[in-house]
Amino acid sequence: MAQNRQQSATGTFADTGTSMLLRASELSLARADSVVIQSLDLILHRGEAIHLLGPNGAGKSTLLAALAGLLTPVSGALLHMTPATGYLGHDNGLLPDLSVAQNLALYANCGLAAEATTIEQLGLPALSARLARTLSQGQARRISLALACRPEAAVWLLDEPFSGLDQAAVQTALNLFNKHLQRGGAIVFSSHDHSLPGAHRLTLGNAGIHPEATGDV
Amino acid sequence: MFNAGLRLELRLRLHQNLSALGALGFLAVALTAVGLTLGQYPERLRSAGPAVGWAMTVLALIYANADWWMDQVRSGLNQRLRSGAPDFAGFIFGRLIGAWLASLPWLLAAGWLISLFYSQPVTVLLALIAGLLIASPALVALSAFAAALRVVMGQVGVLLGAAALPLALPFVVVGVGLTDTLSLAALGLSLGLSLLQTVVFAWTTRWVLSLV
Repeated sequence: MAQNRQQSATGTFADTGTSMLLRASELSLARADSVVIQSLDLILHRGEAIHLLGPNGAGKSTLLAALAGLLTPVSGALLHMTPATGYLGHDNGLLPDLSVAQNLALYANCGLAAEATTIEQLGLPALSARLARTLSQGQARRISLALACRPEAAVWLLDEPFSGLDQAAVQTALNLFNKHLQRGGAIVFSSHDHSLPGAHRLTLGNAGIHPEATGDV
Repeated sequence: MFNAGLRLELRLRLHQNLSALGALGFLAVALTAVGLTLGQYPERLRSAGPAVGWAMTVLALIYANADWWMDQVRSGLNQRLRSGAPDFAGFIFGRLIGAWLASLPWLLAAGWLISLFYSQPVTVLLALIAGLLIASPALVALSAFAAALRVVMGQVGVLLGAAALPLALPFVVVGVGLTDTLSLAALGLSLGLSLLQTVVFAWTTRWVLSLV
C-alpha cells in the first residue's frame, strides 16, 4: 500500500497570500467499500481554481461530494472556512414536474436563490415556463449551473459543469467562473472537455494523485 | 424551509393525482374481491368487511407513499439542499406534513368506499375516517423511512424497511376495534401511538436522507 500513499498536494499550489477557504488533511475517501482516494492534502485559497482530472472511476465525483460535505471521509479532516458552498453534482437536482421558474423559486425559498444576472446570462428566462422534464440535458445543466454558482457561496464545487453545454454556454460559464475567482471566490471542478486558464491541475488515478503545473489541459 | 417543503409537496401531489387514484383503484379491487369471496355469507361479510377494508387502506397508503418517496429521495434535490440549504430538516418535515395533508381527501374516499361496499352504518364510517386520519401521519412517515432506507442501503434497506412495516399493525388492530366500538380510549391510544411513530420516523427519515 506504500504506492497508494498519495503525493501531498499541500504547498503545490502557490500561497497567494490571500485567506484559505478550504483545507483537506490526510483525506481518505471510499466508494462502495473501496478506497478511491487516500491521504490527500489540499488547500484552497481565495482566487484559486483546481481542475480535477483523471479516468472514469478515479474518484473525482467522490472528492467533490466529500468537499461538499455529502460524504463522510474514511479518515482525515476537512475544514471549511466558510459554510456556504455551491455544489453541482451529476444530477441536476431539478424536479421534472415543475417548470423552470418553479424550480428556481423552490431553491430560492430554501435559501439557495440563483443570481438574477446569472439567470439572464445563461438564457434561462426564455425557458422559465417550460417543465423541467421537457428540457434537453444542456438546458437543464444551465439551470443547475445557475443554482450552484451563487455569489454568496465562496467555494464552488462543480462536477462536470460543461456536460451537455453548447459552445456559447461554455463561454458564459467560463466567464462566470473567472468573475467568481476575481472577486475572491474559489472553484474545484472536474471536466474532461474544458479547463479554466490559470487553474491548478490535480490528476487522480490509480497511481496516486499528481498535482501539476498551472496551465491549460 | 418548512413552508417551502410543505408547499412543494402539496403542489407535486396535486400534479400527480394519478398515484392517489391508483391506490383507490387497488382498494376498490381488494374490497370487491373480498365481497365476492364472502358474498355468500352476508352476515360474516358485514362484520369482517370494515376490518379487511381498514387493513387494505393501510396497505394502499403505505404502498402509494413508498413509491412516491422513492422518486423524491433519489432526486438530486436532496444533495443540493444538504450541501447548501440552512435548514434541511425543516424542509423534510414540511414535505411529510404536506404528504399527510394531501392524503386526507383520498382517506375520506377510502372510508366512504368501505362503508358503501359493506353497507355499514354511519358510526362505522365515522370510526373509519377518524381512525385513518389519526393513523395516517405515522403511515406516511413510515413509508418515507422505508423508501429512504431502500435508496441508501439497496436490498438490505428493502429488508430493513419491510422489517419496520409491522409497526403499522397496531393501527390495524386499533382500527378494527374502532369499527366495532367507537371508543374515545381507543382513539386516544391510536393518537398517542401515531404521534410517537410520526416523530420517530420523521427524525430517522431526515437522518437517513442526510446520507444520500
